[in-house]
Amino acid sequence: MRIPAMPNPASALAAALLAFPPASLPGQPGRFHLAAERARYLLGEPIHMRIESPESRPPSLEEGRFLLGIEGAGEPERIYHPPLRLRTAPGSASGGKTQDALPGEPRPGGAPVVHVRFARLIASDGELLFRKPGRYRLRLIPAGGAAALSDSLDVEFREPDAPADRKAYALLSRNAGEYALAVYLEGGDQLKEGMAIIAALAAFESAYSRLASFVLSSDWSQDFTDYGGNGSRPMDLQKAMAWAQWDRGPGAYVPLRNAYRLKSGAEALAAREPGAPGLEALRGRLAAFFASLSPEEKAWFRSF
Amino acid sequence: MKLPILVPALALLAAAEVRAFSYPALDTTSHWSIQDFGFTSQQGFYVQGAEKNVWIAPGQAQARTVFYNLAVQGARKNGEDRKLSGQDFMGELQGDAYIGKYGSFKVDSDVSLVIVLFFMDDGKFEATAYFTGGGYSAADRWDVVFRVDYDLAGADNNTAEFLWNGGSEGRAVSPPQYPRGEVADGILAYSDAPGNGPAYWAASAHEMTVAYPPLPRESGEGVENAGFARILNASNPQFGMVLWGHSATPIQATFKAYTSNNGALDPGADISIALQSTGESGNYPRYAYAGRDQLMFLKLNPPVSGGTYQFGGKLFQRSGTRPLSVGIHQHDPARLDGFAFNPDMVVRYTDKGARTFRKALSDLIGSEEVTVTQSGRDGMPYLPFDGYAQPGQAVTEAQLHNLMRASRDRSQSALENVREWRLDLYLVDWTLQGEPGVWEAMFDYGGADANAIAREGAAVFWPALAGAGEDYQRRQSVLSALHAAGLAFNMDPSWSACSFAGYCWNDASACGGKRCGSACPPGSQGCGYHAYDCIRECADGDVMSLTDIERNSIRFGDQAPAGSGYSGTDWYRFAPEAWVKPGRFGAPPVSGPMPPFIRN
Repeated sequence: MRIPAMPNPASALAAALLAFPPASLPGQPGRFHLAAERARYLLGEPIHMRIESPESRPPSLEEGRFLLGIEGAGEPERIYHPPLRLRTAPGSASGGKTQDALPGEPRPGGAPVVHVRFARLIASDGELLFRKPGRYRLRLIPAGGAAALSDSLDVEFREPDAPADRKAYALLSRNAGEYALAVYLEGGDQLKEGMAIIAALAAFESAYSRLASFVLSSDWSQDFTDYGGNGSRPMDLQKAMAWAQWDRGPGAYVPLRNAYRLKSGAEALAAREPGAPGLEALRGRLAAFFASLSPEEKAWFRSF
Repeated sequence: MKLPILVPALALLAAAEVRAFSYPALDTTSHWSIQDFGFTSQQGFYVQGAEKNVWIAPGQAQARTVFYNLAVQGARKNGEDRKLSGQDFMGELQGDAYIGKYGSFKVDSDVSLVIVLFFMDDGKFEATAYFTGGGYSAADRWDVVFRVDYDLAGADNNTAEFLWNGGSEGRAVSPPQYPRGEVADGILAYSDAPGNGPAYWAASAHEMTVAYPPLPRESGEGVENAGFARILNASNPQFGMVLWGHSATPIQATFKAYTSNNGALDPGADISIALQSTGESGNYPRYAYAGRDQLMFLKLNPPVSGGTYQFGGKLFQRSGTRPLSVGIHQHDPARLDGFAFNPDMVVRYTDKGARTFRKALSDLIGSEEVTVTQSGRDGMPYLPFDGYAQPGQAVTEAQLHNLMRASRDRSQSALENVREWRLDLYLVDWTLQGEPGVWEAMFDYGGADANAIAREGAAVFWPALAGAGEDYQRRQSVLSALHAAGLAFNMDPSWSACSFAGYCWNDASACGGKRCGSACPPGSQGCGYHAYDCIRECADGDVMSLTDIERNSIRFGDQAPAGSGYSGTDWYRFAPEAWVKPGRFGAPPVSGPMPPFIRN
């Protein structure tokens, strides 16, 4: 893949500030708030974007009930196409459950109610979603092209600079489409090249290794049938634990999602093999992890 | 120009039992008829006026031309022409379900080319060729060139469509249009995987050349045979043929305007000649909607491991609609609270009468040509748990894809069913890994689509439908299955004729007990985000836009959604097949507004 030369960061930032007016303020009634853990990413990294609403749990992008518009890197706004399409129950996804607090009002004795839906933005149309360095502006829009449904989220993608990061990016560029899908699905035995890249990225320290290790942990947390649909590859709790990421310092999504994947996998394992080795240790690790979470992080975990 | 004498003759045939689907229908009970065959130094070995009977009404059949002329003019040895120079022998054969024409012809010093053409009663045709003689050496590169003047039902106006998907080299959804920059890349031939197959370019609006690697019939394990091109009668689109390759024979196909055929054995495409009119929109594949009189040269490259050169294909009859075959696969009813999916179960009475799964699909298609097969009947087994996920547990998209491939009917007749659009739906006692609240998912594209053949299957997650009673769960599973089918037909849930709602909350005095607005008022109960499914849809919500079965019309939308000139039913019936059809020739789904298209 040919990547244009990285512009001067200072001039790029200045140009971006001129090009993009300030994002809308969050909390505007009837609108969603978009948030991300960081403002700057390396090419090949996913954005774990939060769609937040004070009223009810937002739909997922995979439901197609609203669209994500992406503008930037010198290109007009385009529509994001998630690699999975689904529909959720009205109560669990599109709202509808009675809230235990009024919109915008604090929970009794707790934090304000904010309903969250995470979006994993990395893959689209069999390729990386963000393929060029530059600044991007993201917003939710209805299909009819009316006014935006959310404030805007501005992020910047740049090429990796550090030698290890450049090596990692070169690795994932060998089959960026499969790599992106493996990160989106957080595993997937059928993505042989993608998972091979993930394994390679996890083998040495770089900006991508934490994510890659999480994907491996997630992958080993699941049962798979083989490519031909014949044999099966059961979850491997030891490998899943070995690759697990618990540090919330660089961002909460990865450890929260890792814990969710481990918890789901362990429940399936316990159902068929109650005394499986490692289950008790995992339960203890999860209990300690959950105990350390803030109320906000617990709400995020419940959103999975 | 075709000679008047070769216009297909009308033949009224004796009444025979015909399947109940609409007419016209391919007559699979009689042989092809061949007006003439033979050898001339000018034409080579040829078959003239190959016709097949088509039922146009009960007891009435017409003979329709398929190939005006099918010929082998010669071969190419190391890139040089070797026209057929004389015949060793020729003959014909006939069996219970086929006829054949064959011959052996001189192509070089002590080298003969044997050609066998089969025409099967079920509409298939196959071509086989091999070299004999002491002068033949596998060290030489021998290509065999077929010239195919197709003349579907006597039409001069034909179009060609190509298998061109995400696996294509160049990673484009369409062959590039000359003179776009992609042409210069020179790597835009179809390939089953990046790096496979010869490099070639294509320009679909012009005379075109495309190249294909050897494709086993089961290549990609799709719902139908590994076709590489389809030829359609564009002026009267009720007749077409699928061409498929052979597991060992690479093929280069050149499509040329009939009037610009210069008689060359292996002519190149001319990008100055417009061959067919194409349309495109956004990231959707380009499609052909009108063509001109055309013919095709198939250059069969040496088989990978030597041996015979082969290609084949099959006719299909397009009725006025797009017939659909849906396979409903489910777990044992004992695992689904005794529920066996019933396509004729009335799930709701509306102003359109009793609504069922089959009725909703029939309305979508605009005819009764819906075939439903299901587990527990017709020899279709219930779905397994072993090797996938335990009952009630989470299943991944990858597992669902593997399950689909393992449970699909892959019999020869099923693979060669190119007439019906086919779709597999799965009603499973699982939830979706990572998204336990999901009711249904179209898992068969993107990362889970391991064979890169999009939108062949979707799943309904039975446990996720629980909580509102057994009756609701059963009826909701039907609506979910219809919605899942809609997703596989590339319909988007945002294609709603209803206004954008935002939030809806409980209000007994409002329509359906709901009121909607841009934000939840303080104190409102049951307030949640509902993009398009509130006030108007309490009366007329369609399959794609409204989740609640109690207010759903159990119909696919017949009103144009905002910003579109067409409805959901228009989409299924008239949008380009490459956009709508699940499977090998279908495109990956694209979310968002309905793209404009030219009615096909």
